Amino acid sequence: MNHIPVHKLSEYIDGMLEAQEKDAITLHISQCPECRQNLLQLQKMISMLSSMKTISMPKTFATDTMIQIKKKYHHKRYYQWVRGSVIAAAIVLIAIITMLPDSITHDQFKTYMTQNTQKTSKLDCIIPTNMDLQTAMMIIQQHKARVLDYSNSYMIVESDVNSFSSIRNIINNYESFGHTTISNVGINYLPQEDKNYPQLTHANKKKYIFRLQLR
Amino acid sequence: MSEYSDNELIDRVIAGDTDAFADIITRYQNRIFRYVYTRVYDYDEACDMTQDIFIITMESLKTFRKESQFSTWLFSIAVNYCKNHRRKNRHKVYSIHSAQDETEMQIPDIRQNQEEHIITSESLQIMLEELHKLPDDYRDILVLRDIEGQSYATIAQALNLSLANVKVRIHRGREMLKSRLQQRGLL
Repeated sequence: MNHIPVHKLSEYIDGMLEAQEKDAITLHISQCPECRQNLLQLQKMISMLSSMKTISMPKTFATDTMIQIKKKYHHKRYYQWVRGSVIAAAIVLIAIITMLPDSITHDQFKTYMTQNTQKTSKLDCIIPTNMDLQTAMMIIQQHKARVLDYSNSYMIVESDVNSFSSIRNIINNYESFGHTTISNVGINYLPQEDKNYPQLTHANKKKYIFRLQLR
Repeated sequence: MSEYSDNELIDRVIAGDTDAFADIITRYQNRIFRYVYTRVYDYDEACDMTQDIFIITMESLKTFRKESQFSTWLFSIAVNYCKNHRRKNRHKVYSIHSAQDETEMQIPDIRQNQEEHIITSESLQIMLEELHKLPDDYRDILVLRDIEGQSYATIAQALNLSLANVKVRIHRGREMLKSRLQQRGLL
C-alpha cells in the first residue's frame, strides 16, 4: 500500500480535497499507522502554531502609537505651514526683486545711455595720447576741467577754450618725446587716412568736449 | 473593541476623527506584531516595526480604495515594510533570545491537555526559533495560514501570489517545519 504524501495530508487537514479523495484518505489513515502518525504530527504542529496566536503586544501599544501618530501629524502640519510660509515669502521676494530693481536698472540704464549719447554726440574732437589715466586725470584737475566719463582706455573731458588750449599744449609737449603730436585742434588734428575719428564741428564755441585716448 | 466595521472606522479617520484609528490599531496590532515578530525574532524591534507599520498605514489611509478587505491591505503593507526592512538591515544579526530574556514578551504558558499535546512556553520558544529560520516565503505563509487562520484566497491577495502557488508553499513550508521540529524532538 502506497503512503499518502505530506502535501495531501496537508490539504486533507485544510479541507481542500474533494469528498471522494477525502474519504479515501480517511480510510487509508485508519489502516496505515505510518500515515496516521504523519497526520498526527502535522496536526500537532499546526495546533502549536495556532497557539502562537496568544502572543500579544503591550496593552499600551495602541495609546503609544496614537501619541506617535499625533506627534508626527502635528510635526507634518507644522512643517507644511513653515514650507507654505517660506514658499509664499519666496514668491513675494522674487516679485519684489523682479519688479523693483528692474525699474531702477532700467532708469539707470536709460540715464547712462542718454548721458553717453550726449557725451558722444557732443564730442568736439578725439585726442590720441600715450598718457596713462592717472597722468591725464592730474592734468585735467589742474585745469579745472570736468571729467564727464572715463575708463582705463579713454577720458571724456569738458573744459573752456583756455583750458582746452593749455591741455592740448601739455599733451603736445608730452607727446613730443617721440610720440604722435597733435596740433591745431579743430583744423587738422586728425590724420587724413583715419576716418574713424569724428570731425571737429564747434571750433569757436566757448566749451569744448573732447575725448582723450589713453595708453 | 469598537462595534464599527473597518470601513466605517476608516471613513471616520479620513473625515478627521484621528482617534478612531486607535480602534483599528487595537483590532489588528497583535496580528501584525506576530507576523513581524516571526520575521525579526526580536521583541522590541518587532514592537517598533509594528508601530511604524501603523503610522505608515495611517498616512496612506486615503489611498485605500476598499477593493479588498482592509486586513488584506494592512497585511500587504506589513509584508512590504518587512521586505524593505530586511533589505536595509541585511547585515544586521538578530540575537536569538532565550525564554528567560523575553521578560516583557507575553507568551503564555499554555498547557493544553488535548490528546497527547502539551504545549509549554519552552516548546513555543523552539517553535518560534525554527519558524524564524525558515525561508521568508514559507514562514510568511505559515504565519498567515496556521497562526492567523487566513484563507488561501486572502493569503494569495496579501502576498500577491496565485492560489496554486499559495497551496504549494503552505505544504512545503509545513513539511520543512515538521522536519525541523522532529529534529528538535518536539514532534
